[in-house]
Amino acid sequence: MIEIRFHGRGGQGSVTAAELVAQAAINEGKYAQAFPSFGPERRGAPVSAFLRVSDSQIFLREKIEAPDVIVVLDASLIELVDVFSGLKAGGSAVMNCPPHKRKSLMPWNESYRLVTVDATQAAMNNIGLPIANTAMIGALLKGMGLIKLDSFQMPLQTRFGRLAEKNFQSMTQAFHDAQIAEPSGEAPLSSPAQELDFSGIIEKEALMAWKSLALGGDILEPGNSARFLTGTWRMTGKPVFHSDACTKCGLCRLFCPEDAIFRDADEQFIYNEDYCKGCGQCARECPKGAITMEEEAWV
Amino acid sequence: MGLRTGIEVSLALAEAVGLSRADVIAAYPITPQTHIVEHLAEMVAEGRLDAEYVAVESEHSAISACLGSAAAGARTFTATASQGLAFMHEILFIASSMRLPLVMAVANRTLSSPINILADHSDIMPERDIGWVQLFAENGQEAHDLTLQAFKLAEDSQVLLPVLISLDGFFLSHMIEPVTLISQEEADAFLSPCTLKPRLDPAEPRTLGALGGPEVYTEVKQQQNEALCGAVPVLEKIWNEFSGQFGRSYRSLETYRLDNAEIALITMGAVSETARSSVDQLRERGIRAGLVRIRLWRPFPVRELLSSLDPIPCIAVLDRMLSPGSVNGPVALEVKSAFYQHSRQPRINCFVAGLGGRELSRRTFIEMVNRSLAGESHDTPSIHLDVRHA
Ligand code: SF4
Ligand code: SF4
Repeated sequence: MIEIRFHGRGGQGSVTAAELVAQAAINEGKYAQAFPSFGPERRGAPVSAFLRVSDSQIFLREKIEAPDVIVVLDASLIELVDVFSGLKAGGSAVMNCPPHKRKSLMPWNESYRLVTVDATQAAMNNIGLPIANTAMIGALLKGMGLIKLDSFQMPLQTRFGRLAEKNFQSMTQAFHDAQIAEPSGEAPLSSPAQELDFSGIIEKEALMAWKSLALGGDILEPGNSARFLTGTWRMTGKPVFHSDACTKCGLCRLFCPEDAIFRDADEQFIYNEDYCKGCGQCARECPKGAITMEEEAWV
Repeated sequence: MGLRTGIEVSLALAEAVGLSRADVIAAYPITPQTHIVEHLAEMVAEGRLDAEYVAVESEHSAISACLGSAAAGARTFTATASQGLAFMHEILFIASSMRLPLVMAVANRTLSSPINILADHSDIMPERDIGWVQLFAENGQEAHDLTLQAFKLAEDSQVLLPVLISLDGFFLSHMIEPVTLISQEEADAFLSPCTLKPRLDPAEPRTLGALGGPEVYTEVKQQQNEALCGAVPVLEKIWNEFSGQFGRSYRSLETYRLDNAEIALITMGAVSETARSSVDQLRERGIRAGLVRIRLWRPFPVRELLSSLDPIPCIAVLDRMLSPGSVNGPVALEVKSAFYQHSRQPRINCFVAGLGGRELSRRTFIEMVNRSLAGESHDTPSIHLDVRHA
């Protein structure tokens, strides 16, 4: 059995990718299961999905904590989420990454096998949209040889209809483009079967905190939504304010759904990194074109 | 001194809400609860009760308004029945889990379909897991007394939970009978003014009813369950105090002629009085019958039940609701599971009867006793649906 964890952002199709691989595997006569990390996730928020593929029936209904492979649809997530968490030593990380940023991933190459591909570019070339999930499947297949490319024809057809062929091309391109770098360090290629550690579980599961809860689970601290950083959802760029064109009309501030725009000490309009979710509403509303949405650097 | 008077039980209950000096009443009328809330509306309109009467557009809104009122620290009351209670269903859990103290009267009536406005326990039994303290009144005096006690219990700082009082529709709610009405002075001496600390307080903002993921949901449930189980000693203390002041004593269950009994009936609600008379008739004929009447349905009084039934070999349980597809009615299920780990295993028969207002007379109870004593074994079907008269 091989266990794969997908990391992406809400709306990028991580769950769909996991489901497509499961369907293709099942069509090949294998056993597979794909499921999302259930929760109130939103577009742009970090999400994960899980995939198991096996030659025999799978008797597990738990999240994957120690995956053999991770598939990261959006490498900017590395800064927000511990995508490598639990990845087995010598395991594979399939990363969506433009060629000029590949170098920044090298520190992880020490203990992990890296499979990199510019899946967003592959998607732009073939689908015309930056939807990289099917391209990432191509890279996964290149890296792991799990399933035949052709086995995806039917699942793609069912899922995407007339867009199936373009997605298949995107997948195929990524399959050919993906580059594999074996681990450079001393880490063993396959880790010994991991023993489940039961010590401490009971204590963790005991209702340690219930006596200290406020009545009825009330939250006594007002305004704690400030700790909810919607800035982590930014995926299509950040707003850049051009003060020369700005007339300080304040419309951008009015329309920002996260109340993330304010005026700095010099009376200039700027945005707050922690809460701007990158929706672009301010740029659309600015009557002077004084805001542009620009790609963000990461890593 | 209280005044012994002939009064409709719904009105006696409403008067007790007035004596408790309720601050807020939010209710939607439904048969057979109507007289309770109409009488309260009159009391407010006449200025006899200084309360806010919130006329809402549904039972769902009624109970929701009550949550807000209780969270603001007001003494809060509502009443409903049947479909109205079912319509409240989802909010009932929220009231207890958020630990909002309020009092509700339920004038028990069956559920549709077919449409039927008469009494049984089909409305309240599906709500047994809502996490409220649940009491069953047997007569008008109890309906009156329990209401005052309910506010005291709900608002106790050890409890802070909603409390409901069930009274059988029509056979209790619409019955005119003698009730010794508590005077306002007596009521004030027993129940102090509401001192609930407002949880909704602009000076101390907080979030009520927030999202609670897997890491905290179980803890909130545990907190709630401990409060519910912990309500029993508080209730016993309140009952002691009440009997000291008024001379009327209350327990989680009442027993009648269990000495040397060969069979015990178990009942809940107003029909228990009929059952009591049938016990007398049976005793006259030389059949040693007795009765246990359960007053406190939640938390279920397991210990009291087991000790009161010792060493009676045969038990006949009345269930006024059919639990379709189950091997027993809800009350019999509870009684049987209480005995599961007991060394002594009496024969327990479940009789589902009195549905949708079908008559429950002394003959019904005598039939239950006869059939149980005729030696129906553990192997026979455990539900006897509709015990007919001979
Ligand atoms: S992109 Fe603009 S409107 Fe959207 S959250 Fe950021 S600052 Fe606010
Ligand atoms: S909407 Fe445009 S012009 Fe108006 S304050 Fe914002 S950036 Fe400046």
